Amino acid sequence: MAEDKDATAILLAASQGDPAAADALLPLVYDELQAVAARHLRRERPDHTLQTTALVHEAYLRLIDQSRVQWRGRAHFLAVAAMAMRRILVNHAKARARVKRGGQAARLPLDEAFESFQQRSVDLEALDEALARLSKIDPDQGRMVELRFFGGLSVEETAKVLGISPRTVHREWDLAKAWLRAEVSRGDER
Amino acid sequence: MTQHRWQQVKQVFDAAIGRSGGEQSAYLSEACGGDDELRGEVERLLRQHHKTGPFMETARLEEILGVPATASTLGAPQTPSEHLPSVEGYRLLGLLGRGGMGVVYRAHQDRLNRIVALKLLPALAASTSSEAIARFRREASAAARLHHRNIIPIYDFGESHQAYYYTMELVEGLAFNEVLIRLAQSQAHTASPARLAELLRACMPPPSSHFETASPRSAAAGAPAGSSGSHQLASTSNRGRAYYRQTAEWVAEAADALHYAHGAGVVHRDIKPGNLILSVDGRVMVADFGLAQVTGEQSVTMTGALLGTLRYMSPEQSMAKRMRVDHRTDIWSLGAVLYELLTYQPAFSGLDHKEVLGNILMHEPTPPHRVIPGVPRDLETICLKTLEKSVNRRYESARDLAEDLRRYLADLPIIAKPPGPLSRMLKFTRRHKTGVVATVAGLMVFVSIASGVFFVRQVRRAERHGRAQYHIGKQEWQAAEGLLRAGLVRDARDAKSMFNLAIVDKELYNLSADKQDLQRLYEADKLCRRGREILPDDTPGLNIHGVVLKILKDYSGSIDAYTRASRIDPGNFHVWGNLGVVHALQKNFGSADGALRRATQLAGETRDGSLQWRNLAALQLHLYDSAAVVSIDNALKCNRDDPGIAPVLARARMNLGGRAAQDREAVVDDLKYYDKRSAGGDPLIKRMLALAQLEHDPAASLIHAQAAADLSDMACLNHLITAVAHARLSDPAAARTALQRAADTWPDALGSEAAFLVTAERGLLWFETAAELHELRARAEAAIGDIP
Repeated sequence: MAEDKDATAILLAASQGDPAAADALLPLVYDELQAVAARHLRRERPDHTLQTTALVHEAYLRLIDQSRVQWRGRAHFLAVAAMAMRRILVNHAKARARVKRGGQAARLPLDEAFESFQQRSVDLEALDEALARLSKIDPDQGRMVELRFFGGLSVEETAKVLGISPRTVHREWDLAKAWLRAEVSRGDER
Repeated sequence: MTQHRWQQVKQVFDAAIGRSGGEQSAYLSEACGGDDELRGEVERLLRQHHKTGPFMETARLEEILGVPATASTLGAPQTPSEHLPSVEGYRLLGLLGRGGMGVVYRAHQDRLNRIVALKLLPALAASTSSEAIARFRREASAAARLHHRNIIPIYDFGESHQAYYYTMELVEGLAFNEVLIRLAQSQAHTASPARLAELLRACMPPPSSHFETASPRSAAAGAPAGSSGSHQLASTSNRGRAYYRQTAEWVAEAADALHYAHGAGVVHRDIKPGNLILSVDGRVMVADFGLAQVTGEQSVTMTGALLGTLRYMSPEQSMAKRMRVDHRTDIWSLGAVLYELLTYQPAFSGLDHKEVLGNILMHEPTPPHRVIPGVPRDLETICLKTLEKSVNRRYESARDLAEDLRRYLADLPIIAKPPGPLSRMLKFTRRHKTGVVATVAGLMVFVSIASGVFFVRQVRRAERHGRAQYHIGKQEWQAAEGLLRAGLVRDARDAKSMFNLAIVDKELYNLSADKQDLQRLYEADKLCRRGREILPDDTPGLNIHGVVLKILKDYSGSIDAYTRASRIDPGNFHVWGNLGVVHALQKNFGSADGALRRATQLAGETRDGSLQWRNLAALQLHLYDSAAVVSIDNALKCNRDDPGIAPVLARARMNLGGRAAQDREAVVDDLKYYDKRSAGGDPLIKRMLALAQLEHDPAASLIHAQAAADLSDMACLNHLITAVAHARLSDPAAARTALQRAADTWPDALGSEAAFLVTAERGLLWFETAAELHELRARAEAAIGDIP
């Protein structure tokens, strides 16, 4: 509860450009997102799909005293949350891969289903690495992908957070996706 | 790839993507010239772009991850034992669950060699007072003494590493928040008794050998068939009714537990599905008795985090700051659970805490049968009685609730009555916009006090007939003055004439252009004093003296006069009402509340009662007392068209209501309605209009702020509204000018952030808080900053 106040205060400081505050915010948001996700996953109906968007927004509601935070602060939060969400998802993918490699008896639940899903989904570890490379060439585009894909933000929200037009987001998204797809599937092509 | 190269790729890709086939190829040749590498890269990307099959299209967790995520793999990992907190005397074995109020572990109690559930409360904030801690200890030890078949026994509580914990029996079963999900999923209300029993059995956790304290009857023993009532479950063949009977039985059991605890002086304060456990043997068990206190206090101000809990808070609890909360809060919360069992949806919901609270305070839940047709009428009536906003309209005790539920189960007539049209809450005025115009409403406040004056009867008659527009102006009052003075010349000891003359003086003062000249009031005071020497016990005389002294800010003199009047004529609600107002002006809110309550009781739902209810509502709003809602309702019942109610109504809606567009529109609608009905325009209404529209229609807001200023409303506030509106209309210069004017006119009395101001223009009680000014100033500054 003291924590909640902190998150708001830190966010306010961070959105005023305090870099130390931004670093302090990430772990708080990370923990909260995990907690929110776990809670949902424990109680949601099996047919209910969980959206990263919903998680990010719920974390915001839970952590931040909205009456004290303006839009700019909210945008900042969304950016941090997208970053946290990315780490959570990638860590999850890594953990699963470790278990598979280790060939342990303790297979994770529903891992059997993994095979059938694999073609449809992204190799998160590879995507994460590709995204890191993209961010080096074009940091803005890297952030956009983080917001859109990991944060689950809409085009409009992403545009607002980045201070660019939705049209630009659409355009850049096409390119980023094509590039990332090429990077991720590089192994297949060769 | 270099950044420069990337920009080139981007440019060509963007341009090429919209072209097709040959056109695209021609474009690429032209754009890339001889740069084959560039062309190769763009073509590679275009190939990827045109690939079918989803790639990064989704925000769905399981698709991103490639497998359905599970709680154990994502989010809270299974806590390795070395990461479990240590609590002296216990060995923590694993995590059982997390709640808003703490984390529950399975734990081994070393000394007694038993397995318990241990709940670790969040570390207390540094600000927690020693008094609050003492209260927690008191509550916990009271709760530990509760022994009831429907209460999860508390074994122990203590402190470890600055965090409080308590231990309780480890009950095998499922909390109702989970039960509810499964019931809803399988549409339990349509299930036959056998199917329902099967459903409930499927809910239960598998029997686990390591839960040493688990009930000897394990899940395998059969359907939850717990206590007496649920035997009927098997005997009724009526498909669908089984579920409602089961529900009534569950809630009755929980009510039994509550009644027992209330008798022992323990109020739960946090009844919600998560705190009601359906045990494997079919019993409903209430957890966490009386422990909401310490953490609960902090949580009320928390944002978002407790949405789940908020939904079950009673109105009085939602406004808990200064409101007394008694056992009836639990009755409400249990009613909210019943509602959810009947409809599979919360009685009150919302996107954020403000909206949830607003709904709890201002809205009636949708009658259950409209959510799920076929909900038994009696059960619905019982449910809605528990969800009455006013504690007095709820069941007196949890036992009454349990008994009514059992009457339903036994097919006997229930005690609760379906709500009549009047008791349905706050169906605001828009339904009844009939055209009665009472221009004399403002004057009536005063006029009704002075029942001795000759023309009062005339005015009243006119007012009662509701049609005539009767206006008393300066000329009329001056004519009256002449008559009265002539009377005094004939009889110098005519006290009645003195009082009446005082009334005229006060009225002429009110009509004077600037109210700086207090001469009239001094004369009125003198007249009253002389009159009281002759006729010390004349209620109208005391009353006008009270009014005059109030305006002269001699509050203790005024209270004195009214108190005396109230002793002589204890049934006169005007006297009590005025006494209440002066007490409020003196910031004696306790006495003010008492006097205004008395006034409203006496006035009831008469037309003149409107002012009394309205003033009581204004005070209650200031004190965060949720009963304000009831008072407003009553004021509207007295007189829907009294513009005096408008600012209170608007403030109630703005403070308590949700942010939904329809709420905002309702506020503006109501205000406009009353604005038309207030003779000459009411600055307060105009200002509220300006405030209500500030966010979404700054231009309209500006116009209303100006109108309020023209009616000499509190200048500072209007400057602030003007500043915000200008900033939102992207006019920083005008905004800064207004902000500077606000600073220049900032009222001294509202210097500190906690300060507030009480006024009583024309007997209408009103509160201004410094917080509002500060908030507006911050908004203005932020809005100026946001202008690009």
